[in-house]
Amino acid sequence: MNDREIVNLYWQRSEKAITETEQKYGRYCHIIAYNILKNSEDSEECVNDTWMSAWNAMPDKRPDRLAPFLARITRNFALTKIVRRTAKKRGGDEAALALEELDECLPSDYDLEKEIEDRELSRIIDAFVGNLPEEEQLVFVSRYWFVATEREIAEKLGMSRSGVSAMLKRTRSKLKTYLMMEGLCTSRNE
Amino acid sequence: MYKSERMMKAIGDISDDKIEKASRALGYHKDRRHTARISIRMGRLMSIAAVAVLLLALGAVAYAANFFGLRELYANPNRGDMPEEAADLIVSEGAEVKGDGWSANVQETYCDEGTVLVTVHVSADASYIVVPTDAELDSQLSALGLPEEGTLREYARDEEKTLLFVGANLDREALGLTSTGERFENASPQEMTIYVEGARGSSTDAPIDTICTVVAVAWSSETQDPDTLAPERRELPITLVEGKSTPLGLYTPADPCSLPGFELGELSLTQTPLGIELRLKMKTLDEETARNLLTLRLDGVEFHGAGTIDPNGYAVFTQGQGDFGDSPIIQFLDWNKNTIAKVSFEKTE
Repeated sequence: MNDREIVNLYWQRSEKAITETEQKYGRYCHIIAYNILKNSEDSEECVNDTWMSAWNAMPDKRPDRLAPFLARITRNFALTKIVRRTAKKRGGDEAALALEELDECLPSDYDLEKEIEDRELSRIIDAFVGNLPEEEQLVFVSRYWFVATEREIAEKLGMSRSGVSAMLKRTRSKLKTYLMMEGLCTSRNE
Repeated sequence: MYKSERMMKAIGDISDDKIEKASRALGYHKDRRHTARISIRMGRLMSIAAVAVLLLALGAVAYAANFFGLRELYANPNRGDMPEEAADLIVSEGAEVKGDGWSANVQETYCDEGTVLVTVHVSADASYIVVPTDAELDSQLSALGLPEEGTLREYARDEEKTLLFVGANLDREALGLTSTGERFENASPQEMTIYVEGARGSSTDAPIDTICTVVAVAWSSETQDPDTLAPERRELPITLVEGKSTPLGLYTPADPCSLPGFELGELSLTQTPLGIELRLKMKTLDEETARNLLTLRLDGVEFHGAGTIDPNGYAVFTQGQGDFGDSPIIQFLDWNKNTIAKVSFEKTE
């Protein structure tokens, strides 16, 4: 069944929509959640929450592409779970590591909440990622969107692990500069 | 909220195409668009890893099938030469239906206890461009095997033609299908062959009278809202005669834990008209490790996981030709086709 037909099932309020979605995207969403949570039970819960959220969103929404639509929902659920978990104890898993890595992109004296609306930040990051060379973009999105390990990225993209690590470091540095150039934050020295 | 968490959230909003590109590179979600006109749609091939995830996460449910169409029976290296038994079961059909400016006919059918294959040929008049049902308006023409540059949307507008999205479905209930899928091949902008495949888990001695439903949706650049379009449905009657299978034996692994990330169970080999079908019980112990697994090899023949779990809990693989003896050794391969483990099996019955 193609995406259009599945979306139509949601709009018709047919419960088959969820069965079809699970068959087609269950594995995909499970991987996304598992990358972040590293726990099968929690991941399954996120995936089930994703189906419910999709059910509640359609109608009114009619996503053009179901895969990224569902992936975003799963990722958000998983991040919410991990944030709760890391609020208790930060560190120790892949998502916490990715979060720590991103910390360096913003100067420590920068109060993001006061300076910028989330939407604007999203727009700027999307533009930044869009301007990256192909391979660098894949590595960055794999690491910070899908929370894939450096080892997995290296294997899937045919790179060395140290190469992935070095590339990510360069990209984070570029992102930090880019955010400054966009006027979102100033360096400590200014 | 930590600033890095806010960054993570903002990264979550990057555009769909970047997400899809990375997910394809990571192998998380295979592209459903065409990569080449006559290439097998690998995007539909499920890996063993997918089977493993399904076993753990979804239980015994069906998933997307492995796609190979009748045409590939003649060239698929996994199956070797076309078995006579299978050739005898391929039936040339003549049923034809007509739509508004297009027609479709069943070219060939094949059926055994585990597989149904139906080939449907679609042709349309010159005002149409026939495209697969899962193509998108922004799909590249090259992906459909057309020499022109640009997207479907641009091509339809420039040529002042109507896009005709066409797909075909089998009757799941009548055939006892656990999963179905399609593969498409454009011979020209006005001609397309659809290879429909279903995985089954039932058997009958009587000929099966059923239908293959062809669904077509027309879109032109004047029609701006695709959601308002009404599909045309036409039913093609088909009669399937089932080819029989013979069990070859059951085998147990010498060491059920010799494959990292899994606990292996019984191996079952069955002679089907298409070749020897391999089914293996695999319990996932560690998902991340399990994801390293792509396929398995037995006596030089690769078997791909089709993602289907049969009612007895076996993962079902594609068919292959060979004499695997009473003590087969299965090589399990990763995504780079390196051997992860070699496991010996012994025949028990």
